[in-house]
Amino acid sequence: MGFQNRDLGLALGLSGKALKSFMKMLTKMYTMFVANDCAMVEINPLVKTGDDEIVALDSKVSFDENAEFRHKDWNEMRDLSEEEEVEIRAKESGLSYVKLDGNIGCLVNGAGLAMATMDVIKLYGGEPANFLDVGGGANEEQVKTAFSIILEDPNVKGILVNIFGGIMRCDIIARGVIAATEALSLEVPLVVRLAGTNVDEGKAILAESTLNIHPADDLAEGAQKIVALIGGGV
Amino acid sequence: MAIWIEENAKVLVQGITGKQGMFHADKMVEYGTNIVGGCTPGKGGQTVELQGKQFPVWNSMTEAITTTGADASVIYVPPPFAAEAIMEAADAFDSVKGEGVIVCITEGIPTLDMVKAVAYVYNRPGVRLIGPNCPGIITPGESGGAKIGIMPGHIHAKGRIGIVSKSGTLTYEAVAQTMSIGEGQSTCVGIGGDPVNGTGFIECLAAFEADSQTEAIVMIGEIGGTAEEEAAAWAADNVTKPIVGFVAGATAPPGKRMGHAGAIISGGKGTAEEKFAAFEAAGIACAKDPSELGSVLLESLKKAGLR
Repeated sequence: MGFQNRDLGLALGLSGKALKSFMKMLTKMYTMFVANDCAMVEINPLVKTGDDEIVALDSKVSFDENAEFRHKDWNEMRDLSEEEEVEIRAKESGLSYVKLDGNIGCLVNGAGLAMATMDVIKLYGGEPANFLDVGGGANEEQVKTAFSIILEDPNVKGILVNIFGGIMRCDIIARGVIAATEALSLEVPLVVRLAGTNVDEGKAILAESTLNIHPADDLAEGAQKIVALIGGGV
Repeated sequence: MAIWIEENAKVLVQGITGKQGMFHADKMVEYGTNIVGGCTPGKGGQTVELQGKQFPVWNSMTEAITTTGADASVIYVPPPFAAEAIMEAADAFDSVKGEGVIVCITEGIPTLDMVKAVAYVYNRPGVRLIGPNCPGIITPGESGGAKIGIMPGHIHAKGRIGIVSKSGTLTYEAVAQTMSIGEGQSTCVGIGGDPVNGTGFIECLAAFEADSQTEAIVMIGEIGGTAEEEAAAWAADNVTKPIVGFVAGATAPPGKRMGHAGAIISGGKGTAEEKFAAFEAAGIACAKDPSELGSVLLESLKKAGLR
């Protein structure tokens, strides 16, 4: 609103023509922000010229990804070279992936639990290689994609799967894990912690397989096991 | 007692004819939630079969609430239409009965839509919004109870621990931890991980403090924003019941969004370290590992003479 723009300008010590120019800019910025579903509009540096004009010399704008459905033009503006290719690919498969610098890959359901899993790996002396949330309704195919994305990172020496089954059933995850390890001929150690819906069926499926999968009952045990299996921290 | 949602609360499902809505409505009925029907504009007069029983569908929330006297609604509407669904429910609860609880499960609602929806709800003081982008709220009963959301019902049991969390699966983890020490839950609230949402930590803490069934609280936060810090400072002055806390994201790199829209350390602010420090300063017993929430809670209960 006008008075807010004026207050901001006055707080910056502007007056006269410069204040008017500044207020005009802020009004336009607000209009642009709302019309385009911006997440952030940053102007830096903002300068006052010799003849009291306010000019934006550089600016960064980011958009609210949740509003993409009503901005068909965003795709044309998108500069993929500014983004991590693997993170985009993960997103297209319904996964949320962020690459980190460690060597223990993690595959988790839920953003909060995925962060907590990274934290606990670190707490027990390891370094997480990534954040990866497979979401609430992942299927076998997504689990497989998740594994292949984790394994693209050459630093990964071991993987910790941590699933608290709610809507997602542990038996489905267990089958997905087995299918993925077979299809990708997994060579690094794998620790799987399952809890929640159909946990007993899930554990039985993993136990029956001849693959080298180490089970864990809780997150702490899972983190300790994977850290030990790769021979300590980084 | 429990908070906001009684065991036998009457619940409407917005988006009941959709795939998500129908799937979860069925699970809620299976758990024992008192579902009284649903709302899908354009499909009024139809019925939906859940657990072998027929449930009515209305065209509008006003019609649905007027007919059923519902106490709460749960929203499984796709992101482009979810904010509108929140406002429709808020308007209907406000005008028909002056109160109601709206639980929005939908993930991916544009932030500016939520700015409008939250302001709309705020202007109707009897109406409470929980979420969006959350697992919902559950008040376990002696048998069954009120499960309003997507959480796995079977992991819960009625008890005296109140749980509030930004994260879904971490809430389940916290529930499992209370069960591991033989404690059940009064009410579990998932407030969601979006930057603009309805009910916050402080409202949950205040309600748990006032609730006679709740004797201790588990609070789970994550990086981003300052809600945890504000809640901790408020709790220090206003909450007498023991609180156990955890914050996810100690290893999250700055400037990267960690799954949840609100989970981002920006400009060096919103770190787990700051939040843990605020918790500790407020006398909240912290677990550095969610697998330890049970043992930390047990210790707090003993210290308070509750075990």
